[in-house]
Amino acid sequence: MSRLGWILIVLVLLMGAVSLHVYYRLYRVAPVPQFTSAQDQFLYGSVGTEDEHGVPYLIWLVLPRIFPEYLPAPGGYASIGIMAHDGHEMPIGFSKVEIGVPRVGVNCALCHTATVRAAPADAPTVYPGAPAHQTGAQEYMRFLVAAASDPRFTADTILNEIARNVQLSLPDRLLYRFVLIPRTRRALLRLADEEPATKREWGRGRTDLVGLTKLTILRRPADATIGTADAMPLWHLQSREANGYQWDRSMTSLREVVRSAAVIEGASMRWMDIDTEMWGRREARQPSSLRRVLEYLSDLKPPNYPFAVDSTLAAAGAMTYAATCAQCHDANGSRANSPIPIAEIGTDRSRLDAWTAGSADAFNAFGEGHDWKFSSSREASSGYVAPPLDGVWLSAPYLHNGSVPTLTDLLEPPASRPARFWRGYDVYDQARVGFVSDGPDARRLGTLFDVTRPGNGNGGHTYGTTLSTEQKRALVEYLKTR
Amino acid sequence: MRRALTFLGLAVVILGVVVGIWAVVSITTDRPVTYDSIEEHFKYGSIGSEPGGSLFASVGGALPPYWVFRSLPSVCSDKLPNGYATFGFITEPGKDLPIGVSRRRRLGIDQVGLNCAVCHSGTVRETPASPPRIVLGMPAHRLDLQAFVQFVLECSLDNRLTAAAIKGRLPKKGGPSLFERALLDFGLVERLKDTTLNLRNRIAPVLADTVPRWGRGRVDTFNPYKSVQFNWNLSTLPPSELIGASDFPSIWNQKPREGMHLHWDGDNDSVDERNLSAALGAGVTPVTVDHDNLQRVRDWIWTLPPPKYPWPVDQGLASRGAPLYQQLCANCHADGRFRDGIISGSRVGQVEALGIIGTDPYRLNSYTPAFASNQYSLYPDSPYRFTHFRKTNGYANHPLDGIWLRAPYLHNGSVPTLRDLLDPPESRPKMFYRGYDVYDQVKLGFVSDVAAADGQVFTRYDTSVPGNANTGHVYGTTLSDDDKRAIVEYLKTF
Repeated sequence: MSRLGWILIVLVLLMGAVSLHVYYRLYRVAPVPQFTSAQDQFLYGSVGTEDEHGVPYLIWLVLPRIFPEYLPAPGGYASIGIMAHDGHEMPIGFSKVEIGVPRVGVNCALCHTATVRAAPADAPTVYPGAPAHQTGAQEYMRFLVAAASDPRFTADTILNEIARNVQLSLPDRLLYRFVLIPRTRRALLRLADEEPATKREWGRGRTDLVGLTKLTILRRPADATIGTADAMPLWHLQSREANGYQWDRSMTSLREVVRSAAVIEGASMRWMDIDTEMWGRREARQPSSLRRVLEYLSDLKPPNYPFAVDSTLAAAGAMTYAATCAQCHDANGSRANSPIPIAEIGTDRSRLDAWTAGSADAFNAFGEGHDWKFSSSREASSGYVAPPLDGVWLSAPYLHNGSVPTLTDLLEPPASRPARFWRGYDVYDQARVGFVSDGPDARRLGTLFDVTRPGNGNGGHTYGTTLSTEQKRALVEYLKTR
Repeated sequence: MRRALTFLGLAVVILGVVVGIWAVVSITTDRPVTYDSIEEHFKYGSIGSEPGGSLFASVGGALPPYWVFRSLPSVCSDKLPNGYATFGFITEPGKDLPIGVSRRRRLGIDQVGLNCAVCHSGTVRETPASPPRIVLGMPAHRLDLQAFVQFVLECSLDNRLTAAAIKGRLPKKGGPSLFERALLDFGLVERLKDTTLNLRNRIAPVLADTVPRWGRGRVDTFNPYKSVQFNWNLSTLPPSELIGASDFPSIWNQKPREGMHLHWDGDNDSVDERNLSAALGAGVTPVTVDHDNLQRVRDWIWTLPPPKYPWPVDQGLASRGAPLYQQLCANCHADGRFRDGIISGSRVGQVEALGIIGTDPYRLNSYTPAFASNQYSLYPDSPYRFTHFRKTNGYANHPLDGIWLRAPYLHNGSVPTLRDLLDPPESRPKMFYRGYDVYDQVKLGFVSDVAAADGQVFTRYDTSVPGNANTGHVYGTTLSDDDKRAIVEYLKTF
C-alpha cells in the first residue's frame, strides 16, 4: 500500500476514536438511576430536565466555589435553601443523570419539599410534598446567569477548580475545555431569556409559574401580569381532581399537572414522548418517571404537627373552627374546594389576572401531535380556592401569595399583619404557628417580603379576625391538629 | 557544510527530546519517602497532603516545598528564634523534619505535608528533670497549630523569602535536585507566594484577632475546612459560627469505636470517613490523597492499645472508685474493659443534647446543616464520597481508654485535670496554662500552673473567653472528696 494509503487509514482510525469519545461523552444516555424508595425517587429522581436545561455535574459542583459572591451567604447552594440531607449526594429537588457526562437537572421536590427545625441547633426534618418555603428558585437561576456572565467563567478557572475534586483524563479535559464549558455558558446565558418572568422578586418559596409557562412553553411575549405564588402542598391530590388544581383551579387533570410541571422544569419534548410511551409499561427497566411521581403523591398524607399541642385548648378551638372556617375549608363543607369570588375573599388578585382564557387555549394547543398533548387547562376561576387545611402548619407563610407569615397573624385584621418579614428560615415558631420570620438569623438567611410590592398584598381573608384573643389562641391550637 | 548543519539540527532535536523527557519524568514522579516500620510511617510517612495535581495550578497542601520549609525558621529568625519546636512540634535526633511532617517528591519538587501524627502525638514527663516520653496516638496537647500555620503563611509572604535566600541556606551536600534548582531560578518562590496569598485570604477570618485563638492542643476543625474546601466567605459568617476550637483527640483503639458517634459533636459514625475528613484538614484533596498510606495508619490505629498509666496506682483506693464509676459514669463512658474492645453502657458513643450536657456550645454550633450538605459532595464520583456526616444537637459520650493522657478535659479542653472536672463548674480553675508535658499524678492531668518552661511559652487559657466555657458535665460533682479521689484513682487503670 502506498504511504498515502497508510496515512489515510491512520487518520480515519484517529477520527473514529475521537468521534467515539465525543459521542460517549456528549450523547450517550446511561441508564437513569431508579431509586428503590418512592420517596427518594421523588426527592432525587429524574424528570428529564438534565439535557438541554441541565448543567454538567462537575461544572455545577464547582460554580458556588468559584462565584460565592453571587450567593447571599456562605454555604454554597445551601445558602439559598438548596440542601442535601442524610448523606445524599444531590440536594433535594436535584437529579443526576449521565448524558455523555453526568448532568444535573431539577425535579418536583425543588418546590415541593419543606425542611423544618425546632431550634437553630437542630438538624432539619424533611417533609416531602410540603411547600418548599426555604427554596430560592429565582436566586438559583440568577446565580447561574450571574456566574455565566462573569468573565471568570472560563475553562481555566473551572478546570482548575474541578482538578481539586476529580482527576479528569486528558480527552475529557479537552472536551470540557472546548465543548462542555463554552456550551454550558451559552445555555446558562439563555436562562436570562426567562428574566421577564423573574424580574420581580419571588423570594424564598415562591415562583411565578404562570409567567414562566407563558414565556417558556407558550412563547408569549412578557406581559405586565404577576403570577407569583407559593407552592401548594401535594397531599390529598386525588380528591381534588373534580375541582381542579392550582390556586385558581385552572387545571382539571392531575396527570397534566405533573406533566406540565416537568415541561416547565425543562424536560424536552423527546423525553416527554418516551416517558409517555413508558406510562403503561410498569415492568419496564426504565418505567415512566412521571407516573412514579404521580403514584407517590397519590398516597402522600399530610404530616402531623411534630411539637406539643395543648389538647384542652385545641378542643375549645374545634368549635370556633366549625363555626368560622369549616364551611369553606373542611372537606365536607358546603363551599369546600370551590373558588371563593375575589370580591368576597379580597386577597391579592394578581395571580387570577395572570392566567386568561387565551393562555388556557394556547396551553391546550401545546404538544400538538404528541401523546401527552395538554387539554385540561381553563381560564382562571373568578376567585381563589379554599384548600383543605390538613397539614396547614406546614403551609406557612399563608394565603396564596405567602403574604402572611403565621396563622396567628392571619387572624389579625390586614392592617395589623406584618408589613415586612423574612421568608425562608426553617426554624419553626410554635407560638405563632408558622416559620420564624424576623430576627437576626431569619434576616440573614431569608429573603425580605414587602407586602406593599405588586402581587404581595396581604389584604383580605378577614375571617376570624374579630374573634376574641382567647378564641384565636384556641383556634390556632386546634389548627395544629389538622 | 550541509551535513554539519543536519548533524547540528539532529543534535538539537535529540537534546530537546531528552530535556523534555527529563522534565516530564521529573514532574510526573509521585514518590513519598517510605518507612517499613509502622511507627516511623505514622510519624513521618506521607498521606498525600503535599501539593499535587498540575505544576501550574497545584492543588492541596498547606506547606511550602521541603527546601523552603527548612529555611523558613532561619529566614524569619526574628519571628521564630528557636525553630519549629517553639510551636510544640516534637523533634527526634537525627531527623530532618519534626514528627507529623512528611516528605514526598511531587511536581518535580521535594514537598512536605502534614500527617496524622502532627495532631495525634505528644509527650509526657514525670518531673521537669525527666526525659519526655513520646506517645503516638495521644492528643498533641503541646502543639499550637494556629501559630504554626500563621508563621508559615507570614514567612512565605515575607519579602526576605527569595530564591537567593533559600539557595544561600542549602547544604553543601545532599541539596535539591538539578530540576528543583532550575525551578527555584524560574519562579517557584513567586508561585509559592501566589498560592500562599490565596490560602491566607481564604482563612484569614478564622485567624483574625476577633476570633479567640485556638492555643496549644486545639484546632478549629471545620471553619478552615469551610473556606479551603468550599471557598465560603468566612468574613460573612456570624461570629457564633466562627468560633469552634476544640481539643485534638486520641486516636488509639479505633476498632470498638466503629459505629459510635465520632468527633466531639458525634457528627459521623464511620471511622474511615472520619479519617478521610481529618486528612482533608491535614491538606489532602480527593485528588492528591494517598489512600494506601492512609490505610496503613488506619489499620494500625484500629488496634493500637492505649498506653497504660506508668506510675503507681493505689489499688485499694481504685477499687473503692470502681463501683462509684459504674454507678455514675459507665453508662455513658463504658468501663475499663473498653481497652479490650468490650462496650458496656447503653449511652456509650451516643450524643447528649446540649441542654442536658451543658458544656460550651460554640464547637457544636460551628457545624451546621449547610456545611453537612456541602460535605456530601466531597470525594465526588468515588467510593469514598462522604455519606455519614450528620448535624447533631449535642456532644457525644466518648469511651475513656487512656484517659489519663487526654487532658485537659471536655471537648474544648477547659478543665485541666480529672479531679477538677469532678468539682462543680464554678469551682473549676478559671484560668490555667496549657502545653506543659509534666504530669500531675494527684489530680490526673498536665501541670497547668506553669506559664513557661524550657524556652516555651504556654497558652494562657481563660474560661471566660467565648468558646472556652468550663460549664456543664456536672456528673459526680456532689460526691465527697474521698469518693472523688477514689474515682480519679480508678480512672488511672483505664
